[in-house]
Amino acid sequence: MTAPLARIDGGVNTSVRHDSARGHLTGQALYVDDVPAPAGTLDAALVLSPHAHARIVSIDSSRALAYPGVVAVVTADDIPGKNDIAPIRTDEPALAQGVVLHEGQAVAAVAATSVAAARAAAKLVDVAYEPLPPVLSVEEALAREDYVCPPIAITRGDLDAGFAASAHRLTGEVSCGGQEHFYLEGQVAIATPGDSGDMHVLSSTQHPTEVQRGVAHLLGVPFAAVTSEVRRMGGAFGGKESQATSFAGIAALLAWKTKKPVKLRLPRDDDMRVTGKRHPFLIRWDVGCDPEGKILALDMILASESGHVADQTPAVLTRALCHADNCYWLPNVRLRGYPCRTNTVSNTAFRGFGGPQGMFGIEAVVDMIARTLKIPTDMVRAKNYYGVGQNDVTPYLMRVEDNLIDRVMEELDRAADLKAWRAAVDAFNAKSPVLKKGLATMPVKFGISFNKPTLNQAGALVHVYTDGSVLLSHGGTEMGQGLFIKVAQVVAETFQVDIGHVRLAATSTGKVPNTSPTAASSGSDLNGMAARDAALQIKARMGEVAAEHFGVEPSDIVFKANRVYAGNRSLSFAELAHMSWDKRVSLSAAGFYKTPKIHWDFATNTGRPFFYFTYGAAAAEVAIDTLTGETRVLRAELIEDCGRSLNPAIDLGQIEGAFVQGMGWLTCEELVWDEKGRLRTVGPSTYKIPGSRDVPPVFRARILEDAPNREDTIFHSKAVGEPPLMLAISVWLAIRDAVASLGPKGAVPQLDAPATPERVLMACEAMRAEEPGR
Amino acid sequence: MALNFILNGKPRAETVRPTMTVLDWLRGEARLTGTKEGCAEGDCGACTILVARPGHDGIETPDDLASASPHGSLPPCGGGAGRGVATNSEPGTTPLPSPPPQGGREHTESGATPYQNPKPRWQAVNSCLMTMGQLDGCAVLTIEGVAPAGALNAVQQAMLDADATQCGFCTPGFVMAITDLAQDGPPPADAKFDANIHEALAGNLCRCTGYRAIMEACRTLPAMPLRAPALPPRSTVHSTDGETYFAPTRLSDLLDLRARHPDAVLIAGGTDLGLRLTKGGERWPLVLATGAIAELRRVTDDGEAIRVGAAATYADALPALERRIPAFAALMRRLGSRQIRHLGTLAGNLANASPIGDTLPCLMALAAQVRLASVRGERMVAVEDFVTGYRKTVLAADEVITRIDIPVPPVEVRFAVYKLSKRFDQDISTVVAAFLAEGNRLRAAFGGMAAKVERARTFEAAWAAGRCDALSVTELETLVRRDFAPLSDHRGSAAYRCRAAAGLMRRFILEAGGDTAPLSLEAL
Repeated sequence: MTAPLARIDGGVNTSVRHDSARGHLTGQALYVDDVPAPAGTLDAALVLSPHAHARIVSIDSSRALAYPGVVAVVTADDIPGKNDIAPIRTDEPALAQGVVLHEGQAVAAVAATSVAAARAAAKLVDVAYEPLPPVLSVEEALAREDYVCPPIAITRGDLDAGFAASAHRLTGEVSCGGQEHFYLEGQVAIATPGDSGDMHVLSSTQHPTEVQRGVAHLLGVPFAAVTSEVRRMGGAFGGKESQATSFAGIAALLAWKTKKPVKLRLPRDDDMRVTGKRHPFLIRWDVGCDPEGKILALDMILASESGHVADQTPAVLTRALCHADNCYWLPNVRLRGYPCRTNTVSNTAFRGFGGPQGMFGIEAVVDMIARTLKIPTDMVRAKNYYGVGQNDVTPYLMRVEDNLIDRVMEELDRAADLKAWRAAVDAFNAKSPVLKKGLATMPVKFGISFNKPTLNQAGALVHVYTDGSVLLSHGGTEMGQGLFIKVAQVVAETFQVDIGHVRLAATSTGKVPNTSPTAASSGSDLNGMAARDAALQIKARMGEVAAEHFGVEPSDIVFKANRVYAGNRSLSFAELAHMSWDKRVSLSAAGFYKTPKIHWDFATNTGRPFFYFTYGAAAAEVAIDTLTGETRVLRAELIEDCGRSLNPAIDLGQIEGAFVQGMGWLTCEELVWDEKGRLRTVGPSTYKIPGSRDVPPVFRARILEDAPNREDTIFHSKAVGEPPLMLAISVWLAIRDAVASLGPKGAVPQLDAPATPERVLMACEAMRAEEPGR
Repeated sequence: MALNFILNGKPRAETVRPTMTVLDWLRGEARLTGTKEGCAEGDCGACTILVARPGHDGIETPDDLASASPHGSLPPCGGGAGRGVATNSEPGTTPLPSPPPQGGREHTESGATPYQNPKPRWQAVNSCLMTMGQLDGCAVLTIEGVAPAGALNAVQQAMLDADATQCGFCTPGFVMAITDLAQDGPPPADAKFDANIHEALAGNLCRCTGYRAIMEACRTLPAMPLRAPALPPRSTVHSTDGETYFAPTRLSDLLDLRARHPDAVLIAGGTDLGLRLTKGGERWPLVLATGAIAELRRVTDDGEAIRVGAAATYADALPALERRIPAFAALMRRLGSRQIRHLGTLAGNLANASPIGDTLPCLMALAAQVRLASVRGERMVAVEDFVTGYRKTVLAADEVITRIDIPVPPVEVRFAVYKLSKRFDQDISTVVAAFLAEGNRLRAAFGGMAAKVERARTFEAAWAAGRCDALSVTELETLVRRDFAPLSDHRGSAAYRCRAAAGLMRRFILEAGGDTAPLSLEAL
């Protein structure tokens, strides 16, 4: 073997640039609304409900139809198939049928020859409503036991015995708000009718297969009659997992009705009023612990504000319960999840998918224990961390086999010197009566794989052409997270060709069928493996051709750095590709992957839902103004476990972006509904996501080094999309720490999220009131 | 009649509805889809473009070019049409008016200091809020025009090197905003290094990257002076598709038009009115634009007052305020974003009479005066009396604002402005407070506390009586509640507003008392 040491350009474990970076920077990267639409394409607009809950008495489209340029108006009655786009359960309509269940629900849609005409005419669709009383709070739904799906519970051990053995028993409550995805590119789809009743849909979706199914359901045609395609999204974050389906479906319905291509692009306000968001949670607990803060019993309820239908709620709630342990061994535990039904948008997937809410809950518990017992939080945590070889079974009975909690916390301390940092914060507070600083850390353990085992499968389609160029298709979608480049790196590495030879095709249900959503951080784990499988099949066939050509055994053939070697004889990859074609050998393969080891019992909520865990740790310092409640994050230090990172530059971007997004969820991003259930924060003028100045001036994210995944994942990397979002809980804990500095030791701040200036100021006032002598 | 402008170096003469937004035109008619729509309300920056507007930021008016000013013959950016376009008036367009009496270059009354950026600059603006009518006589750069095809400019290269894109949808807007920043060369390496960058990026939202990589790209920028092309002539009236857009160059013409068309929409920057087009889907048959009137764009400082013309943008007013009333300037730097400040005007903010309009408390505390004009004559009104209620003013149907006179507080007078909002940058205030204290005389004005901006009379009286130093926040809140009964809304509850207003009073008292501990997060 004399294969050279040369490396290919753009293999795995290298910081290859995002494949579309130049396109992004020059404006040449095409998003759905940028693709030249076929001639005669109509534009569509939605008619939205002004009521949170009402019976639809009548819909009169005559004025809208008379508007110049209007071609069609559709309502639920026009749907030829089934008015159902539910991702998990059933009976979730694309257009309201008889009743509206939230303000902003789509009731009808208009197609016209221009966007302006469609939007103007949408205002002329006369819908008569009979308003009904809405349920607008999670408390109210909880009291009425009104749920979108059955409640879920995870229990283990003996709660009574745990409480009996506890020296301290504490109860508390905290809530966290929802979060608008605020993908910069709003929801959009173009549906183009083909012949024989076929429909092609270009949709900004994380889940082309669900779009395909949704369109087929609505039109009453076989799945095979619908092709759903997406090249890239301008951000998604979970907001285009199930939410994109209805817009693609409505565009297809209008296209079917008018026999013309139809584009539905939502203006930002409509987008925010129609689409679901992160689930707000109300969390209550009763916890027992020993004098050192070791938790002996935890009884917790997690009530999600689910909105009007189930959508992803069962899965979100399950993941919340599966992360309410975070890094802590809970010997006796009962976690009950209540999927509360409210007359609001149907809350849905959002980066972390319940995990952030579950961790938020347990961290509030740990914070309460630490403050009440007057023990530093990290010491309380250390008493409760999962062990190695003992105390290592989660409440849902999965063994934690890859525990890196101590390691990430040690790395964090090494990078940040927590003791000195704490001393500096305390010293500042001692001489600053108005401004107060706070410091907190946050360990994270996050389970990787969809909770539902079925979804943990993926397909890919790889073609090698006779010039040696490679076309890669897989079931994953690109939303900016760098999935396409990572999977391309996998294929380049496998074939040993430069990344420049690998072209990336748009994701299409016509190429790879029955795909799972690109979600749950699983994109590169699943699709990388499937693509590798396809590449390995082709490589084996090409290897045989090379072996025959050189007169050696296939096992003697080595692919290395764009060439194929047999000893010191070699061919270029392109020459071998051409030779293979010449020998009538197939250069195309479909790859497949299913995640091993996982299983889940939906009856008992136990099993091994996750192939592995990722770990991370963060420390954040904040300052608050105790006269106004204003807050600044001054410094954040992050460590994230990415296994052996496929692409450190891409992963770093995911870590930083997720943290800032999590910070937004917990600080400035506040969704406000009024007493009638109308969303008052629509558009970026009223809903504030973090801007550049909100990022801590000292912001250092690191990837944990030398930590290959112990499981056999794609090149032993780990998933990265969601886990770092939860590192931002450190910011909320640091704000609590700053608030706590105003009160006596032992007092526990009452601070819900998002920690807006108002909540922070009120928490400050409450904390000051605890100080004796006032 | 066609609108004339230079697009990415090439002259264009377009017959389009003058109130069509520039964004809709670029994406729809010109098929330049690199410029994105993220929100259509001027808050996300995905639609950012650069414009060179006559009379703003050192850009000459065509009249100046005609009189051969020192930098009147700048070649176009990115190659293309030369200066010939300045006279390349197409048949059917309104001919270039003869030089107005005062000439194009902005003269000032004797003794007053004119404020003009000597270096011509392109300005980042939100194309979603700008109307095509405002583009007449301007040059435009979009993402497609910042570098030759297939190449990257220095900003794009820096962002590429920093891995500063993820989904890429916000990216063209960031490139444009940072290209605006790069014109001035790398930001000074001082303590405000990052603050300058944040200010330049305040109008651009990114949901993917967490900004660190974008900031890194900004920190490594080379100086990248852009050259503005010679500008085409502009017309005083456009009429297309049932919309007529008047852009008179003389105040007397504006007053005549206003008298004849009291129902016309009067537009300065259009950053607030534009929302009625983008979100409200309104059509305006008749528009009167103030932007082409040179004397209304003037900002002067005669030692006594800064006089800001009604068509002067926030950006035009900033240098004077920066020098003379820095606290006001600091607030203005948090008002909207650069994109907004390049278009929006103080007069527009005043005319909208929003209960939270950020500048109103400042103007009220400073006892600013508004100059109004109509064919009937002129009058001066105190800002305090100008606004009469929620979005109501004393402006008569035939009147326009021509100028705002802001008295410069003497050095011994303490003037402070505090703004509370959920986000530091580009956010509408929950509460704004402005305090002007001269000895025991205090003028304190609050926004966000009532249907219109109001003085805090009880607090002012307590200050005059010398009783404030000892008052706790709770006691101050009692004073607040005597003057205000604010509403609860999505920005904050009434309880928070009262408590925080008291907190701001306390901050002012502590600052005035020379407290040495830091009192605001910005000081950290």
